[in-house]
Amino acid sequence: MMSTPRLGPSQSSGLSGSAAIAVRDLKKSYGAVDAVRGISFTVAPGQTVGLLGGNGAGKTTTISMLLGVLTPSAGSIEILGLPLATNRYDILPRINFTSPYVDLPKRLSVTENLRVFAGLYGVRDGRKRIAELLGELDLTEVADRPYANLSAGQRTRVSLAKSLLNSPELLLLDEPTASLDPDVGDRMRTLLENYRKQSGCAMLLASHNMAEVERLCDDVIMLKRGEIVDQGSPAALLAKYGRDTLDEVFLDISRAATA
Amino acid sequence: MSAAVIRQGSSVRRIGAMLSRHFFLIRKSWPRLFSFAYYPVMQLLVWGFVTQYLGPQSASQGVLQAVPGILLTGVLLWDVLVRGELGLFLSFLEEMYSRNLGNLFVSPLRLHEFVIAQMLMSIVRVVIGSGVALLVAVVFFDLNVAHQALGLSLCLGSLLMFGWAVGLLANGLVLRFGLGAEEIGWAIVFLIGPLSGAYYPISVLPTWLQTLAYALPTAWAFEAMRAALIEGRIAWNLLGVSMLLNVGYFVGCAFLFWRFVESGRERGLLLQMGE
Repeated sequence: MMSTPRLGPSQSSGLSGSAAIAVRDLKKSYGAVDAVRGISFTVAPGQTVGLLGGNGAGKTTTISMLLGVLTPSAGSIEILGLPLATNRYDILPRINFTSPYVDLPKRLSVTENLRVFAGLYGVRDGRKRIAELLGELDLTEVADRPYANLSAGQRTRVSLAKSLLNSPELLLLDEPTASLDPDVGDRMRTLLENYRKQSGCAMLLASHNMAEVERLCDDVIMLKRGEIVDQGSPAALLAKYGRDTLDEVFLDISRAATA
Repeated sequence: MSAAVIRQGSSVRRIGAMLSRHFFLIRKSWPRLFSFAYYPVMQLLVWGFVTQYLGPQSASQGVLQAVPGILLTGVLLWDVLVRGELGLFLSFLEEMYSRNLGNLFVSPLRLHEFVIAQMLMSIVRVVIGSGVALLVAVVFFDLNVAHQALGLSLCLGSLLMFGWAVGLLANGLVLRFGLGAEEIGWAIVFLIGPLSGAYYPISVLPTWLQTLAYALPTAWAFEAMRAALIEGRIAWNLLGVSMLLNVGYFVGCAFLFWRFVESGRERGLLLQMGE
């Protein structure tokens, strides 16, 4: 069994009122194709916001722009109160991410992979931090095992450990529980909830799992074809659409927009 | 929150972290370590036996006395160029194959730190690969270049630098065009082989090819190698031209690599690169 997670330091985030994310009129076009069409939103410190939408809605494109690995065609991004365009290397040590589009070197062990990233993120007392995370994510037994030999659930937890190494003030999570069985998925959600409680970290979560969004998110942004088509707390959206689940709300919005 | 955990980053530490990534890999894979020296040593053995065949025939014929030493030194220095390029290229492919580039590009690692770590890894490859080959040349084929160590070291430095320039170009091409361009990365350094004059003077090339050859720093470096071995002098003029050209090529290839990365950032390739 996983131990009770104590994933982050207990201090507050220290963002002193600046939004964790402030996006204004963000656009991304690939030639004639508009992947993101002028979206604006903010994520407050300590808030978890869900980014929902079907395939091609612009979720990953938006997260990629927030990470600085995709250049916006227009608009501005501020992360932790700093413009991303000019402060990328001041921001990157303070944030982290998980994504199904990336992986870790497979021949390196779990500990070796985490040691590399502890070095890259400048984690003080990296060995201690890694040991803590391995214990909290129930990975101690596989610490010396090559990453290639791990199950999908273990790999996802290693990826999460990597994303928590630097105790980020902002976590960008692109489908963090995709391909996990319900048990492991539930554990991951518990870990994320606990990390947020302990650290005051803000999170932006892109997911197709509506139950996950309902459980973790304070606010939800519904994307359709690169535009924000609705926004609000899960409870407010349920009330607005007169539905019992976010799954139904999601279908209402996506089918209405398609019609 | 994070103050207790982070804010200890430095360039040296990040470069060290990237080096540790490769050392972790090497230390658990003896075949990988073996492969560093395998190709240079095999190449050296072939040419070593060629020089043994040629040796008695050239022993009393003036400048040809130096031929075995020139060939073996040419083999060793050519390998430095190849190892230099592959040192960058293979380190880059490791990240591509493991789909780790996205993690690196969103970490605090700067692009120049990424490149410096790759260059340091290429030095490790050269030291291991060419070092063992040199040892074989000295022990089994009586190669003695100690009296021209400085001159040849300068040639080595020039060739290594050009290898880095070619490696950066190869990395940029793979970044821009994906793993479909991998074959170009492997082959690109051999394209300049005939023009570099590792085993023969540039003067044997057709005149129009000589012009092309002298546009490469490798041609000047290998001419400097022959000056060291045949005339026993350090050809500062040749080395100077080689280094000047190197600076131009390195800056040009580094710029292209940077442009390819920025192009990847425009096109959304950085997070999704890999097999």
